[in-house]
Formats: sequence, C-alpha cells, structure tokens
Amino acid sequence: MIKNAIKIPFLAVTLFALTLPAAAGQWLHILVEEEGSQETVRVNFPLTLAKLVAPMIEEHSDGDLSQIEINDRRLTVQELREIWERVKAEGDYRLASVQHGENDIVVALEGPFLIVRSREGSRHQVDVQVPTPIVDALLSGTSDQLNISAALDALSTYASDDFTLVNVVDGHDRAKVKVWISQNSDQ
Amino acid sequence: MLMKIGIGFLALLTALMGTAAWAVVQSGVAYVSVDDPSEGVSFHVPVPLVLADAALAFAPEEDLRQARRELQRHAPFLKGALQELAAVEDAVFVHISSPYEEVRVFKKNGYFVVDVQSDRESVHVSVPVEGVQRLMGSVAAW
Repeated sequence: MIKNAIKIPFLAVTLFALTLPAAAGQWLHILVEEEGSQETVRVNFPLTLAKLVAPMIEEHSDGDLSQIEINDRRLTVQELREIWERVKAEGDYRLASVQHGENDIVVALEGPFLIVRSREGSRHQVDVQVPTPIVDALLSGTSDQLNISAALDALSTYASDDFTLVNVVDGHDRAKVKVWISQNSDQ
Repeated sequence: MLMKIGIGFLALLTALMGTAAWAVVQSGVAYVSVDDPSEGVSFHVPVPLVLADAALAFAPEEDLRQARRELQRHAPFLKGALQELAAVEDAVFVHISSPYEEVRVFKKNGYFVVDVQSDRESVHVSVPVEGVQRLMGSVAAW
C-alpha cells in the first residue's frame, strides 16, 4: 500500500512540478495519509527546482505528455486544445456533473479557475482549483506535448502563500491527498 | 642533531596531517551505513571525497571521457539542481512513515541524507552537496 501511496505523490510531484512556479522560497507540499494503515507520505519540493526538472521531464516523457486519460478515454493535446478553446468561449460554465455510485462531482469554469469539486454527501470529498492561465499555458504552443515550461512561467505569477491546489478525502478509507504551495519548507 | 631531525620530521608530519585534514574538511566526507541482520550485512563507511578526487587521476581516460559526455549532456539540469540543492535551506524533502518503515530524504548542514529504518534493515547515506558539486565539476570539466 505504501508503494501505491508513493506513486501518487510522485505522479503529483511530476505533474505539479510541471505547473508550479520557480519562485524563490516557494515550496510544493504533498500529503498522503491513510488512517486505516497508518501510512503517511509527506513531500516538500523546492519550487526553484521545478523549472530545472521540467526540461528533463519533457525530454524523457516518452509520449506521456502527449495525451491524458479521462474516464478511460485518451485525449491528445490537440484535442484538449480544441475542447479548452470551446469551454473558454462559453465563459463561466459547468463542464460536467459526474454522479457515479456514492460520488457526486462537478467540473466547472469559475472565474479565473478550473474547478473540480464534490457536492455535499459525496463519498469522495474533492476540491481542485487550477488557475485558467495555467491551463492556457500548459496547452500553448504547437508541439504535440503539454507545454510544461510555459505553465511554470504562468503559474509563477500565482505563487501566493498556502494556496491549495488539490484536497481529496476518501470517505471510506479515510485516505487524504492534499497538494498545496507555501513559503515554508515544512508542513 | 638527532633532536633537530626529530623535530623537523614531526613538524613535517604535522603539516602533512594538517593538509590532509584540511583537504578532507574542504571536500567533505560521504557516509554509507547499512545494517541488514537477515542478510548478515553490516558496514559503516566514511568516504572522504578527496579520495574520489584523487581516484579521478588514476581513472582510465576512456571511462572519464564517457562520464564527462554523460554529465555534459545533462549539465544544465545537474549544475542547476546541485546549485539549488546547495542553496536551499535545511529541510525534509520526503518523509514516508508506516508501522513497518520510516524513510526520510532531507538536507541538513550541507549534507543530502537518505535514511531508511525498517523492521528488517537500516540504511543511512549522506553526501556533502558542495563536495559532490566540486567532484562533478572536476569530472565534467564545467
């Protein structure tokens, strides 16, 4: 279980290192906790390293940055660009409302944020907010890969203290995943 | 006469030891410590990086060229990462804990440290960041 728990923050570090600022003194924090197994993973990543890591990830991504998977459907970066442009053209907009089993999740565009949020009573408590200029930057350029470096540059302007990007709590296992940035190196 | 020679010899020995100690302090000392009773493994080795520097002088030229090519290929990342690591404050980068094991990756007093404690084994590796910077700089000639 702990190995799975490691994969999550590692993936999260990779993904968010892609999108986080190289602001001096800023840190990315990831916390994964499972109450049942008493396992905890804490990652604190200096954001100044993120910008250095990005080109290495881009070079060695081996196609991993050229598509993403949503609900078992693979979307290329070009398809994502087209979808994103259409969504932005609509303004504030509820993109999707997902009701599956005990989960009730809403994906929406709210002002300057792309939001993924659970409704009350949902088994998973989800709260994800990504600034839209970061998504713009991530999908910018003509390459068939996500534009990590541009996303880093864009997000550097959002480097505020204690900004939570992801907060997920699994109601059954009492597992928790939180990703945030702050100016402190410790959690 | 013999006393003068003895004093001179002692002075020379002291100077040599002082120089060696200075070199060790300057380059730093890496520590590797592994305990695994189930495998009968137990070793604790301090490695002065000055020895690694010295070993470079005796390394086969072709191997050095190969290492240099590899390092130079990733030079921007490696140089930058090591510089950032040297500059960043002391901190715990990764901390994994469970009832069975505890893993910590952190920086303290200029050392990059990996520490693993589990029911079966104990591993501790610490390397001086600036010493590694210098060593890599020597190999890669950057």
